Amino acid sequence: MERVPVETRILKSNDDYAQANRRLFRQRGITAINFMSAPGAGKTSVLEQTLRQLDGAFHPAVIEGDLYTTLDADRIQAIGVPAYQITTGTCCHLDARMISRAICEFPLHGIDTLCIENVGNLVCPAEFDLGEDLRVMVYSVVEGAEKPRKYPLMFHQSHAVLLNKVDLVPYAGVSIQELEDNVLAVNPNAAIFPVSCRTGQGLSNWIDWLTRSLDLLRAPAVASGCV
Amino acid sequence: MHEAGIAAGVLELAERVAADRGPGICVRTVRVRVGEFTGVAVEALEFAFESLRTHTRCEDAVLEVERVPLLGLCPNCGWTGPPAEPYCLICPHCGQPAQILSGRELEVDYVDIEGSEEHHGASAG
Ligand SMILES: Nc1nc2c(ncn2[C@@H]2O[C@H](COP(=O)(O)OP(=O)(O)OP(=O)(O)O)[C@@H](O)[C@H]2O)c(=O)[nH]1
Ligand SMILES: [Mg+2]
Ligand SMILES: [Zn+2]
Repeated sequence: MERVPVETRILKSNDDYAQANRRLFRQRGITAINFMSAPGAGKTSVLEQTLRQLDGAFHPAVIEGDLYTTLDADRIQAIGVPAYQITTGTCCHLDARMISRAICEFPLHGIDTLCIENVGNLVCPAEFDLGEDLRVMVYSVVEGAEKPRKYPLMFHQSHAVLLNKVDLVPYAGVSIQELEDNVLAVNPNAAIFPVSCRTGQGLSNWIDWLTRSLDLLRAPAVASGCV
Repeated sequence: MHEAGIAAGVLELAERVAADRGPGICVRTVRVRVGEFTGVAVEALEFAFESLRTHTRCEDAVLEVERVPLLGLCPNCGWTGPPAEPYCLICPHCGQPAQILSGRELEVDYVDIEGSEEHHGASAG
């Protein structure tokens, strides 16, 4: 019997694809944002609102991850933003290889902001780097104030956490203060935005933050000869 | 839910080690390190490993899982230790944000391999 040291990340192959995506985004001057949440928390709604209100100086496109349907991509195209659908079949998250394939087929000419809507799932997507610059989590406040403690990873990994559906607070009886405290416990650096895609409440704070972050991240395109 | 993908990644790494050593080499033990602060459920990982290993060089391999506890480090006051409350990354001494020292591991540590006479015989005949 011989013991062979391996000492390698199990997700190394994903990480390698993610690094390649990141290089390609950098070369083309694209900032990529990974939107994650449990099913139905409001990722597509947040994207619709954000893309409508984002300064015209930005040129966004969207990659949609979904188990089976193209419904979300249709919603994005309906507001005039190019969208590409990845259907993952039974896979409960996007991985970097899927993104790498998608960006081969999806023309990114003139695009500087790539929003990626992950598959609705509160656990798995958080473990898979896609090559993004920013991770944004959407959380539906009606699910309760304690979830950041029970499912901490996605909250921890996100640069910004949107507490969506605050219009439903009176019915759900959830304390936003307690929810914010729980998010900060697992991610003391999180930028937290209580918002409602229904009423528009709080969205301008989020969009200001996003615009500032994109301005900071925006790198000039390096190569002009790439496809 | 993604433990199947993780188990496939473990198998791939272990298989590569055995394959690099030539035919007839099989894997006896795969030692993995799984941090407390990962989305991986150990039982689900073991189950997925067992169902995926058939007809591979890991067919008879034992999966050993080392759980790595979540430990924090405070850059402000130097505190290190387990969080005061589960997954809480606020320094219990000074209240500043803490960093993660360990607990995010998801890696194959080592594999034990062995040349199998049986397989040698079978492939020669
Ligand atoms: N009351 C209320 N409903 C909302 C809000 N935002 C989204 N919704 C509703 O919540 C439901 C789910 O919203 P989506 O935007 O499709 O959520 P999603 O996260 O993209 O869903 P999946 O992609 O299926 O995981 C829809 O019926 C939305 O109209 C909100 O702020 N308030
Ligand atoms: Mg959606
Ligand atoms: Zn401290």
